[in-house]
Amino acid sequence: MSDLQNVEIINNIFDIDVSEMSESALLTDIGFDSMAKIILISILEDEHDIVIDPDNLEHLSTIIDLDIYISGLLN
Amino acid sequence: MIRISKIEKQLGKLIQLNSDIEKDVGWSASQIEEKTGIKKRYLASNEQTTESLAIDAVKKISDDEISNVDLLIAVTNTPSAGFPNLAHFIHSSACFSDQVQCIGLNSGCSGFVDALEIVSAYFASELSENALIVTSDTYQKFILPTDRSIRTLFSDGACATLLKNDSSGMKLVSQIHSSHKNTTSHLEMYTTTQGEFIKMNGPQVLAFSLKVIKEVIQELPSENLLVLPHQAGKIVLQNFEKKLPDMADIRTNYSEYGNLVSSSIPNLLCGKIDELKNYENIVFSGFGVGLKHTSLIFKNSL
Repeated sequence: MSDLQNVEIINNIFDIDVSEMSESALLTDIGFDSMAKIILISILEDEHDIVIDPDNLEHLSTIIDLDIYISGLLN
Repeated sequence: MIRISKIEKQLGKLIQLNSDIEKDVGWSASQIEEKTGIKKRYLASNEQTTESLAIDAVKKISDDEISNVDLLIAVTNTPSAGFPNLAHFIHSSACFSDQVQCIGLNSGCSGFVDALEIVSAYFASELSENALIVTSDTYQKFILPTDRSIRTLFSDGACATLLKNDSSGMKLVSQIHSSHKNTTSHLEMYTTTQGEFIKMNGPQVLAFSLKVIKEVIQELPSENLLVLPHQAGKIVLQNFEKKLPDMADIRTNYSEYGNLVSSSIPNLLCGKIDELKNYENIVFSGFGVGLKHTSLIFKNSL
């Protein structure tokens, strides 16, 4: 699944390699829980000086949704 | 001006290691430490209450010092009963004067700093000469065993902080406040038929804390600075430390004590009050339930 733009960030969130997963894999199936969201918020603040609104994460359902959301923030 | 003359504490009797809760929370002991930075927590025993922890901390202060107190501020989120407030029970337990001004604050992780701001105002107005701030909480009594987002964080305990109105003490030079509306559900006590429980939305509280750090950092003096933050946990405090000016010092002890709620800041100074004399600028920063934040910047006359 080479089309993901933010593989490194997403791998860090889940502590697994998502590059071989389907883009439509459900976030809930790979552990997008409270701690995963905390790690994402922390990475975005630490590395990109962005504090996101956690409410925005509630609407994401698949890996590609998350990847597009992160790309939108970074661009 | 404020001089902190003594801090005593009483922690929960029961020490809980990460290995004790692995099965309940579904993380290994090493995962808990890696995620939270916390090695152990102190839990109140069945016999210990918010009130008894507070009273036990106060009893470590001499009768002479207690009898001179004219302002008593008690802070807790977890009283055993709705009223009277914690200050009443503390006042009744030791040889305080009957003329002491007793104030109870229903406040959490910002509570010590809120109380410090009140004391500063009383001292500046010459309405008080000797104040006592007592912070006490027993969050662990209100946490579901399987709630890993908060069971791994909080400790139970109390601190009693004695303060003198002293011209050679610290002068309050700046206050930073912020409160976020409609954030009840992010960190709250709720009631069910099974009892009262605490729930926390970790991502929301983290996002709030990171915004607070950005606010505070902009206001900090750059030299000879000591930062005493609420011990919220690893992610928040590592972020705080990273953003500080190079010459600033920050105190942390969450790995050994967990998050002691309103007592986390005085616990940082317990047995180390003399260190305050080494810094020209001292910042106390409390943030949490509300969601609200108070930071106070004091200047020391070195």
